[in-house]
Amino acid sequence: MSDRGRPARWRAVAQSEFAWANEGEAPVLYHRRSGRTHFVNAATALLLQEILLEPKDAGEAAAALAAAQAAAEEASPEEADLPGQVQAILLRLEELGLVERVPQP
Amino acid sequence: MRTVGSLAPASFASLLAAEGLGVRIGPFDFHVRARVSGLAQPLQDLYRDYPLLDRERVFSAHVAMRETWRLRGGRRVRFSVDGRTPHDDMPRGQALAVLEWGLNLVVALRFHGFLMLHAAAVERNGRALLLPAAPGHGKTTLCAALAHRGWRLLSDEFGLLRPGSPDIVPVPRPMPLKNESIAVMRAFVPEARLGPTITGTIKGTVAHLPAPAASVARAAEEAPVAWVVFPRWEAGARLALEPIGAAEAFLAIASNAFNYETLGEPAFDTVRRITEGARCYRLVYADLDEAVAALDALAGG
Amino acid sequence: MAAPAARKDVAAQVRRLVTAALRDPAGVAELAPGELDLTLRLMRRAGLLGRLASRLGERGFPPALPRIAADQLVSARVSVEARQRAARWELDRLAWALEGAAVSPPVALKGCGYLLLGLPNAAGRSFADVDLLVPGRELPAVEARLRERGWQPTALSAYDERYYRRWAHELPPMTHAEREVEVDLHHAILMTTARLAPDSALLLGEARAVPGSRFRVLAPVDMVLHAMTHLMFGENLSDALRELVDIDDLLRHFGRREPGFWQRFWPRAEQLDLARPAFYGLRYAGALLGTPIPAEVAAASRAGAPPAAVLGLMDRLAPHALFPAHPDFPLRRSALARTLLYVRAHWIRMPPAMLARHLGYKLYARTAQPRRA
Repeated sequence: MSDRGRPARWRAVAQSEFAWANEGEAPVLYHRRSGRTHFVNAATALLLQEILLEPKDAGEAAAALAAAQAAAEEASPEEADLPGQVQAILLRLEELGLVERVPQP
Repeated sequence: MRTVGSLAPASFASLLAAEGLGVRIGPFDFHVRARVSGLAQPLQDLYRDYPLLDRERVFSAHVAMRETWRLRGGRRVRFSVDGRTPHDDMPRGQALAVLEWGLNLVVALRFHGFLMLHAAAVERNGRALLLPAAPGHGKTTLCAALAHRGWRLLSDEFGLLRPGSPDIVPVPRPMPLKNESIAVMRAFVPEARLGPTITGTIKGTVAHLPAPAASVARAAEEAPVAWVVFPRWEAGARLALEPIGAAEAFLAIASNAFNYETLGEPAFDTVRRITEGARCYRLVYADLDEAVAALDALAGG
Repeated sequence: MAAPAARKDVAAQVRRLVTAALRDPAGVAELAPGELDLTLRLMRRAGLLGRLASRLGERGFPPALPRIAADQLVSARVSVEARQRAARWELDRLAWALEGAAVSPPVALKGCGYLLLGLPNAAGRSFADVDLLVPGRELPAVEARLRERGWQPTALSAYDERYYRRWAHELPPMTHAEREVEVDLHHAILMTTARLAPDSALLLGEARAVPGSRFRVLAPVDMVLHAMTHLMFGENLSDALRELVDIDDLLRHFGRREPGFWQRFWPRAEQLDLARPAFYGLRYAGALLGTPIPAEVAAASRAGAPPAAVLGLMDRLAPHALFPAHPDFPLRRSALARTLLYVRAHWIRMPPAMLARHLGYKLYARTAQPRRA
C-alpha cells in the first residue's frame, strides 16, 4: 500500500466526471464514467470537490477535513482515529473510481 | 377516431383471433392477436374507450396469445412478443391477467426513451401526483380510489417521464385489483364495471377495473409532477403524511425506477428535477377515504 | 400487411428488408409503414436495432420517420449506450485491479477490442460480457488479482463449472460483486477439445498495444479470424447475423486501412488452423452482405472448403439460420436449420460422447429458467 515507505496519496478524478444534486448535508453524486449514482455526505463531497483537488495522503486529508469543520464551527464528535477512517473512505472511493491513487514523485 | 367499443362483439372477436387489432394505449400503439376462447368479451369491455388503429403502421410492439395444451396441466395460454415467449405458459383461466401483465412486461423492457418509474400517477388541475411504491403497498387501490374521486388517472403502474421534462406521460390501463381490494373498490365505486374475477394467480385473486373514459380520452395530456407521495397501506395504522428530505426522496424514486441505470445522466437529471420541484411525502394509512382526503388536502382541496 | 403467398416469399422478404436496412439505414424512412414495422421487428430480433439507431442518429432521425419508429430507435440507442458505458467502465476497473501485477497486458477480444480501437462497428453494438485473452500460465495470477479486488465467480451449477474448467477455453465467468458485467478470462479462443486448435501463443505474439490503455487487441487479421471462428462455432445462433455484420464491417475497414491486410489474410488463416471458418466467413459475408473480397483471396480460400455435398447443404441452411425468422411466420425449416447448426457447433467443440449429455442438460436448463430479455 505504501510507496517505498511513504504513505499512499490520492486525488479526486476530474471534476467533469461529477454531477451533483441536493448539495448540502446529503448530496447525491452522479459519476459519469461509471454511470453510478452515489448517496454521500457533506464530508465526502468536500473531499471530492475541494480537498482532493491536489493529491493528499490520508493524514493530510483528515487534517483538511478537521480544519474545514472547525472553520464552519461545526461541533464534530471526538474522532479517535480520523486519519484511519479517512483512509478507509479513500480506499472505498478508489474502488468506486471516484479518486485515483497518485504515484509518488 | 374509432374506438374498440365501436366494433360489434362478433367482429372484435374474429379480428382479435385472426389478423389481430391495433389499439392505442397512451404513447404506445400495440398490435394484439389472441386466440383464446372466452377472452374477447372481457377484453373488449376493458378497452372499450381506447382508440382502434388500422394495421398499416409502425407498432410499438406486437403481442400475441394462444392456447396450448399439455398432458399435465391442461389448457394453458402462451403469451408472446414478436414471436418470443418471455415466460412459461399459464393456466387458461388467467388469460386476461396474463395478457395485462404481459403488456406491462413489454412496456417495462422496451421503451428506454422514457424514464419509467414503478409508480401510479393521477392529475388534478393540471398538476400530477406521483405515487411510487413497491408491490404490495396498495398503490393500485389508492390510485383507483383517487381516479374515482376527482383525480384523472394517468397510470396505475408506470410513471413515465421524458428525460429533460417534468411531465408525466399518461398510460391509462385497466387497474388490476387484488384480493381484498376488489371488495373495497366495489364499495368505493358501486357503479364500476369490473372485469371477471380471476382466481389462482401468483398474486391471488384479481379483477380489473377499467380506466375511466375521461382518462383514456385525455391520454395525450401530460402534467408536471407537483407532489411525490410514497404510500403504504397498513392494517389498523393511524393516518400519517410526513414530508421527507430530498436525498431520501431521490433514493426512493431512483430505486423505484425500472430503467434508472440504463438511462444514465438523463435519469439523474430527471429525478433531480422532480425532487427540486415537487413536494415529497410518505403516507401511511389504513382507511382509503382518509387517505384520499389527505391527498385532496395536499392538492388544496 | 397481406400474408406472403409462400414460404419462399417470407424468407426472401426478410432478406430483402434486412440487407436493405443494413446497406442503407436512412432508406428505412422511405418504407411503407407496414414494411418499416416489419423491418424494425426483424432488426430487433437480429440484435441490430441499436446499430440501425446509431447509424440513423448520426445525422438526426429523418423527419419522415414516424414517432413510434423513432421511439423504438431511441430506446435501442439508449440501451446500447448503457451497455457500452458498462463495458468501458468494467475495462477501467479491470485495469485498476491489475495495476502493478506482474502480468502481460491482457488482450481484449471481440466487442471490447472494437470499442478500444473505436472501430465503426463498435457504435450501436450491444455489449454483454468482457472477454480477455491471457497466456495460460498467467491465468492464476489474473484470477487471483480479480478475486482480491472484488470479482467473484458467477454462480454456476456444479455441472457447468466442471464443463468450463475441464473442456472450455475459459474459466467460469467472473462478475464484480457490485456490477453485472461478466468477465470471461480465456487462455485460448476455442475449446481444448475442439478439432481446430489455433495457437494462442501465435495470437498473443501479434497482439497490438492500444495507446492509453492497459489492454492489447488482436492484430487486424486475427481479429477478423476470431470473429469468423465465433460465427461458425459460437453457441448462440441468434447472434449469428450480428457476427456476420461485424465481419463485414471489419473486412471493409481493415481492407481499406490496414496495409497488407488482404495479403496476410489467407496465409494467417492457415497458420492458425482456421481455414474452414475463414472460408465460410468470406463466403457468407460476400454472398449475403456484399462484402468486397479480392478475387485472389477468394480463390485461395477454396482450400478451406468442405466436401461439395456439405457445402451444398451449408449454402442452403446458412441463410435460413443467419437471417432472423419472420416474427409472424416462423418457418419450420429455419428452426431445423438452426438446430442443425447448433448441433454442429457443439460437435466441433466437444467429444461426441459428451454432446448428447450436455445438450440434454442445457436444453432442460434453458426451458427451466426464464431468459432475461
